[in-house]
Amino acid sequence: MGTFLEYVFQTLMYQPTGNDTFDEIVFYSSFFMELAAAVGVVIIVLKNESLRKRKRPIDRLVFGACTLVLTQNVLDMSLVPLVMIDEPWEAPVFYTLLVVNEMLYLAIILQWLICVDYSLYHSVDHIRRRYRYAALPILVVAALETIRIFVATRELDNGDWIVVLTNALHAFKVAVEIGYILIAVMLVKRHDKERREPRFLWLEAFIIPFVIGSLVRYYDAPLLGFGIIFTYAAMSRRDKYIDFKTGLYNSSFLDCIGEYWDKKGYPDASALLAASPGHDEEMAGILSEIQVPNCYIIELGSGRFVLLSHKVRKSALRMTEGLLKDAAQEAEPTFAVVTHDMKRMEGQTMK
Amino acid sequence: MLTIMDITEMSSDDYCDIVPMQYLSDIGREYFRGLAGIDCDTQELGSVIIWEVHNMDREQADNQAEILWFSARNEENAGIILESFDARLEYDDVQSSYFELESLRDEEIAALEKAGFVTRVTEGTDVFIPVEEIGKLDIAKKKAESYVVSLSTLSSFQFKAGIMNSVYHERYGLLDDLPFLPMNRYDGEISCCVMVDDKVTGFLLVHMMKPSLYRVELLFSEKLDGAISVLNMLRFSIRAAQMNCEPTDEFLIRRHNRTVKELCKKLFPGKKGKKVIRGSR
Repeated sequence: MGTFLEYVFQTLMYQPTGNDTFDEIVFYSSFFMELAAAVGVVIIVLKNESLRKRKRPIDRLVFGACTLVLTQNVLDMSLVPLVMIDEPWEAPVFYTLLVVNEMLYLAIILQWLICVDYSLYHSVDHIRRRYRYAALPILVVAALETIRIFVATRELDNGDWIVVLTNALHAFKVAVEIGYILIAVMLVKRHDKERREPRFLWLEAFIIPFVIGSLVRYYDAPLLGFGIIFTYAAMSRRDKYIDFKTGLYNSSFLDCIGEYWDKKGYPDASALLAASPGHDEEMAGILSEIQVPNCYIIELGSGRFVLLSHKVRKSALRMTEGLLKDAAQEAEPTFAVVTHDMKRMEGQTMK
Repeated sequence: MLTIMDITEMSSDDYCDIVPMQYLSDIGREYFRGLAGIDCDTQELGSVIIWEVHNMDREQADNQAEILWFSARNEENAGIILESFDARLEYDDVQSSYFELESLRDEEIAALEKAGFVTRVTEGTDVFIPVEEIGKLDIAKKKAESYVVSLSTLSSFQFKAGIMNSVYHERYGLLDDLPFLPMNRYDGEISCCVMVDDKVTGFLLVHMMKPSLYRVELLFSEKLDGAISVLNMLRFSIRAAQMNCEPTDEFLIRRHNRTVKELCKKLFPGKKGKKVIRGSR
């Protein structure tokens, strides 16, 4: 057991354990894991039309994460052949790629965090504002890493301070990684408190691979890649409830949210039915513009929509009816909207 | 002998000599009511009462009536109009009523107490802050972010969609009938909103009650980055107030809940409300 823990510690520090067989297994398996992660993200992009077209912001964000994963794993796979080249340019290129590798690792975690945020709150402006300076720590890491490599490779008479710098840099990187992950955890907790909708997100899908990769550093890049793949798999469960043309929920979501509310014990749901047969697109456009948090707009088909919400006063429902009718009257050409205010009794199913 | 009549939107101007315009202009709103007692012999106004009914739209809260204006020539006239007032409260299923009025004559107080109100002199809920004092706040030194814009830049649809956002978050501010009030009720330059993804996610709505007196009626922001949005809206409105108002113009802030009380305490420590007569039953 003691020997095994020693091996784990050595792999944690990217050091050979002294056991050739073990070292070769770790070394070659890491190559195949990097290859698997790279191939994995390529497959999910090729398999999903929405990722290829990238019309929705979430698809663009996930595509960005996949690109970063692919770049990092290809880069990692190329480091070993690069070391074997005996050319004058090999060393500076190698060290540059090491710095880029560190930046990519942090950038993947940051991109994952942004995907989580968008998946919860669906706001591009919010993402732009909140993460305006989020990449600064990555630039700091790049600068410090460059200094560290420069000093280490120049073999300057620097005493212990290079050791101190290395340890401080390592600690800073770990703090940034954990910081990004903690922000994601806090976002999810806040979302669960404020919103009454299923999350379609598992933070564990990323955090578990991240933790394992942190312990076995040879696997850190590929496991981060798997984390992105698993996270996307969780997020994309929402897609079966979305009408891609309108961006609104489809009728399958009615059962989904009904079961979720019943499970959570949320009482007193209100439903407003709005119908405009033959004007589905126009109606969907108006509803998209008035969509608010905690009001779920579900397209039932044939120009019928239902707006589900909680603890909403009658005046709010009356206002919504008025707003829809006025908007329909101002549309070109005008059309009529029929509305019906329904109140769900406890125990009744959504349908 | 008094004839009791409803004050309507059409007839409200008839009472502008006695009742301040800021109360008469509310007649016609969803939950505002008014009664006037006309002396049958002299055809003069004997008494007037204007009130607002709260919580009519909320299923899990009792209806309450808040008397906004009350005046009577004598105790007898006051008593007569209060009887009609009680009958109207029954019609609206009102369980309790209260008032907070700056000036009441002894006869009016006597009539109210006879009608069952328990009265006392106390500090008012409203605080009045002059523009020049608001302009000295630390938060006003920094400019608001560009995503806070004045109300006048919104279309009618955007405004209504924003109000819908506020009411779906159960945020009505001081206005039970917020969903039905038009955009032109609020000062277009001092009032502002937060725009996120081309949608309104926060409002600071200010209404001019009378020249040189403004009231903050709604301060709402979605919880996502809510605190920073509120701060930026305050910055925006303070600067707008400095540009569009006289330094002696006042802003009325009603400390109607704990959040507003704490905010006022923080921004204007030591600021007190005027002395009022508070009554409830």
